[in-house]
Parts: sequence; C-alpha cells; structure tokens
Amino acid sequence: MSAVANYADAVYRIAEAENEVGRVEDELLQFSQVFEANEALRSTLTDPKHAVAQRQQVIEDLLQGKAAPATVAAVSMIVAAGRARDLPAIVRAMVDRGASQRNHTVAEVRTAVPLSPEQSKRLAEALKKTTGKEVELKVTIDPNVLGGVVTQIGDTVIDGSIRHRMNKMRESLS
Amino acid sequence: MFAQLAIFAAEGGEAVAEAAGEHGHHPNGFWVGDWHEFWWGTAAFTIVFALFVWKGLPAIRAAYAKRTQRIADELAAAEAKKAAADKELAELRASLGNADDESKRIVADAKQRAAQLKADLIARAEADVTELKQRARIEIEASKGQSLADLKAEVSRMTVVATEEIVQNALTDKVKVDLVEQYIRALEASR
Repeated sequence: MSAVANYADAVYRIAEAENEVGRVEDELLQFSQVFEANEALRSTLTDPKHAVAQRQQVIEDLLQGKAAPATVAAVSMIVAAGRARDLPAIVRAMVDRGASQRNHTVAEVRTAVPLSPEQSKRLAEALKKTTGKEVELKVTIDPNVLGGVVTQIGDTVIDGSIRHRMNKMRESLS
Repeated sequence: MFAQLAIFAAEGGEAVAEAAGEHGHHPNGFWVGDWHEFWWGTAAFTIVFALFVWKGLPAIRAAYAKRTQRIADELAAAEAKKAAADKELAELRASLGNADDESKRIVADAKQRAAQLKADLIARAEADVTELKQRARIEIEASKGQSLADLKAEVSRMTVVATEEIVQNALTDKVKVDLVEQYIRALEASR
C-alpha cells in the first residue's frame, strides 16, 4: 500500500470512529479544492521553513468551528507529517475508499451555484446511467467555474462549465 | 733622302770642282762643266741610288707593307668589332623586342587579372548585397510575424477579458441555475 493510501485509510478510520464519514469527506474535498486553488495557502502549508506548530495553527484558524473536529484533526495530521503536498491525493483516495466500501463511486461536482435536491438526484441518476454504478455526489461551490457544472469521476471529467468554454475560446484565438 | 743625296752630290761636285780648279781643270760647257766631275757624280749617284734601291727600298716597302698590314688588321679588327657590335645590337634589339612582347604580355595579363578581380569583387559585393537584402527581408518578415502574433495574442487576451467581463455580468443566479439545468439535461439525454 502506498503512503497516500495509508494516510487515506487513517483519515477514513478517524472519520469512521467519529461516525462522520460523509461530512468529513465533504469538508475534506472542499478544503482540498481551496488548497489547490490558493497558492498562498499551499505554499504556507508545504514550506518546511515554517514550523509544524505554525502550520497547524493556520489550519485551526481556518477550520476551527467551521468543520468537524475529525476534519481538522485529519488535515492537521497530514500537514504535521509533511504530506501537505499530497493532501488532494489523500483526500481523493479517502473518498474513493469510503465510496468503495459503500459499493458506490464518487462524483466530484463543482458548480457556481448550489444544486437543488431535485437537481442532485437527477444528476446522480444520469451519472449512474453513464457509469453503471451507484454514484455519490460530492458537490462543492466553486465561483471559478463561472457557470455550468464540472463533474469528475475517477479520471473522467465531464466539463460543462463556462470557464471551460472561455478557455477553449482563448485557445482558439491564440 | 733624295734631297739629302742631291745636296751631298752638289757639295761633292763643288769639292771636285774646287779640287780641279786647284789642279788646273775647268768646266767645259753650260750643262756639263767637267766630264770628270760628271762621271764621278753619276757614279756616286748610281751607287747611292743602288744602295737606296738595294737596302732602303725593301725597308721602305716592308715598312709600308707592315703599315698596310697593320692598317688592314686594324680595319679587320674594326670590321670584326663592328660585326660584333652589330650582332650585339641585333641581339639587344631582339631582346628589346622580346622584352616588349613580355611587357605587353605582362600588362595584358595584369589587365586580365584586374578585370577578373574587379568582376569577382563586384560579384561578391552583389552576392553580399543580395544576402543582406534576403536576411533583412527574413528579419522583417519574422518581425512582422512576431508583431502580428503579439498583436493577435493581445487582441485574444483583450477579447477573452472583455468576454469574461460580459459573461460574468450576464451570469445572474437565474442564468447559473439554467446552465446547471442544461448540463443535467444534456447528461440525461446522452444515455
């Protein structure tokens, strides 16, 4: 088992012990997306010049009171272990592990506006037909999408965002 | 010499006449005064003349012959020198003629080389000019292409920025919800 899988398993066990697997998965996914999008946060949490205690303090300042204690503990553990750079991969592996245990597959959905329950249900159904598996949606609100939806299942990305269309327009113009 | 002999004969005759006078002999005519004196004079003259012919004339002839030979030799030497000089002159003229031809050939060769060098220099200069023009044309084209690419990139960037601004202004919450709805419908329709 790889180091990423080991950390993913540990995080899953923490969430499972707290009986908050779903919440922890959602919060970790959201934090992971912020981590990937925010260069300052990424460099702060990965820079070995900063002491581990300082980096953990940053995490507490960001998540304390906003996320489940298991989520804060999981992120803090990953950063203290010097694995902050692997945080997105660990979170994805942890979510996949949970979905796999539930015999589901995870679809990471990014939208500019929240989905209604009816839209979430229809989207999960449509994705089930596409993949042939039960699909768990992990929805995050990402203003960078501008409009539309981006869905990632494993390595497959179904990008219907305005951002994607803008990028294609930029490429065609250059 | 003849004059000396005549004077000698005359002085001898006078001496004989003086002696005859002293001894009672006198001249007996206008042309021959005294036959004795005449005969003695003739004999002396003949002897002197014979001596002259016998000894003097060959010496004179030999001297003349020697002189003539010397003159002939000198003439021959002069002729030989003249011939040698003529020959040398001819050789000099010939060599001058050859030198003239050689100098003409050298000058012609030099002119030909100069003309060739000039042609080469002109050709090289023309080639350089052509190459410089070509290089300048390429650089201008490259610069033009780069400028156009930069301009296109800038226009693209500005277009994208303007489009993003327009799109963001147009993306109301209702539009965003509609876009999500379109996405889900498209996904539903795909299967």
